[in-house]
Amino acid sequence: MLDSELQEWFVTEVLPLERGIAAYLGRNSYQGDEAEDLLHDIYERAVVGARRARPLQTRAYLFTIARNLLITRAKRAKIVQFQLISDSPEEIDRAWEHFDHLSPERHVSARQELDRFMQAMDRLPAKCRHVVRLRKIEGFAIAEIAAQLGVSNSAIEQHLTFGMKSIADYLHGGSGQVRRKRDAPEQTLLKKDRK
Amino acid sequence: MTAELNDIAARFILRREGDDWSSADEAELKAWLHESARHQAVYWRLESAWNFSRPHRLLKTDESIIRLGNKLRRNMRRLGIAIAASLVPIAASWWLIGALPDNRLTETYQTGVGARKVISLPDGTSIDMNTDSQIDIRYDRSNRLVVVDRGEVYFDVAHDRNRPFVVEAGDRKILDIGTKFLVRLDGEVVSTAVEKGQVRLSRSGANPSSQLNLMAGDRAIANGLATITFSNDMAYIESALSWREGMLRFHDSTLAEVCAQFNRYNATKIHIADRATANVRIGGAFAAGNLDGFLQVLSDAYDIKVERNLQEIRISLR
Repeated sequence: MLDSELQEWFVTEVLPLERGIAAYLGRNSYQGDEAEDLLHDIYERAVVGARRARPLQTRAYLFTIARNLLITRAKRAKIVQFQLISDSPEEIDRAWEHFDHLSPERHVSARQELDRFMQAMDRLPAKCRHVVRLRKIEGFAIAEIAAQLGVSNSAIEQHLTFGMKSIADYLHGGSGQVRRKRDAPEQTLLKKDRK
Repeated sequence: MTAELNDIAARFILRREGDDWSSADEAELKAWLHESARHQAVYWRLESAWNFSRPHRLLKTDESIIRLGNKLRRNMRRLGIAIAASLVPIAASWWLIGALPDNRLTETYQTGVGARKVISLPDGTSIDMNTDSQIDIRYDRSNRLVVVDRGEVYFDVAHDRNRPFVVEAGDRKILDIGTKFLVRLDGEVVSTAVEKGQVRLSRSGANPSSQLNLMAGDRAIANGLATITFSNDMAYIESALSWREGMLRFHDSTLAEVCAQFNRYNATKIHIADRATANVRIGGAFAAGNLDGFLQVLSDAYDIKVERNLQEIRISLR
């Protein structure tokens, strides 16, 4: 696929699956930064593969990548997770489908998408929300906002960056709650072994 | 690892929206994206959320909007604060005689081809500008005036008995009586459509008895001395307003009308080869910026030949 087609495919077919993938990773006890890294490992492989040919069934394609990745990781860690072998592909697929159906917004109108964006904005911390509003709704330039609020450009950029990540998380199916800094990893011994 | 990439991608997206984005910056972004599929995924994921939908993204909500009046307004606001701080008693007496400068507002807004802009004014009025439009806002203590210089503009007016809201387009004046309405200026032709409430339409310098009251669902097309009105045309008005959600909606329209609409939003214009093609009737909803999608549908569903070169697109019946 061309880059523009690839992007179109990624945005319209892959991103709506994010909630399902995140739930699947959660079932296999991946959380926080590790889950985020894994999610993007899956995306990376998906994009590389799709560059050669557009997958016929995006959901099945993503699922296969996710599952293979988890198995490889488990093998490397020499600890096979109970969950991973106990779930047959069909079972996991069914579970995934279940999460998939939880996202009725897979095909939504522009108006609904705008409403969702507003909901995502409402969940931002007050100051961040104010800055995002000035940029996205009122259309002020970053320098203008900085002058108006009497802070530096980079402070505004930081608010916008944080807002953008939280909004992406919310719109693609998460809670919209991005951690500001990397949390001190609350990893189990098992996960440390795996690394 | 992903967290850092997210920050890099977010910065690219923010900088790219700014005015000083250069072709060197674009090249830098391209190179970064080509470095790895992971970069692409991270960037696309954030960008699609930030621009919240495909139709809106194609309309480039924020790009190519020129803001001329903001500095003025901000300076006035600052001036107001300075006065309040240093000359409280005088400011207080101004307040008493109702002469605080805050009610005053002078601004010009423009949108480029394919762009849209929503403006929220301090009085609670909201103005939604369509593609390639320009307006002047002139508020003072006793009047609220908006001049439509060109294009199409939707008004959702906060009614204020003491400060009438008037729109001027060409030689027509539209007085709001608590309303949501659409005004479009096409050369000398002024179209007004009322979605809710009521407006009063008049011509500059004409006898007040020639004023027309338009109610919700009514629309009027005025050209020089002539005015045609249509009553209870809500279906038309709703499709005329569909650009507000980034869509063009048609119901049994001729291809000539449909292409004229698309040409308002896109730099590459569609030319219709002959009358038979122009009279083909179609319906449906399309993202206004999605010219390629529209042409694809034409060729797939209507058996129409699409030929394009760099300057224009030519369509004809097969």
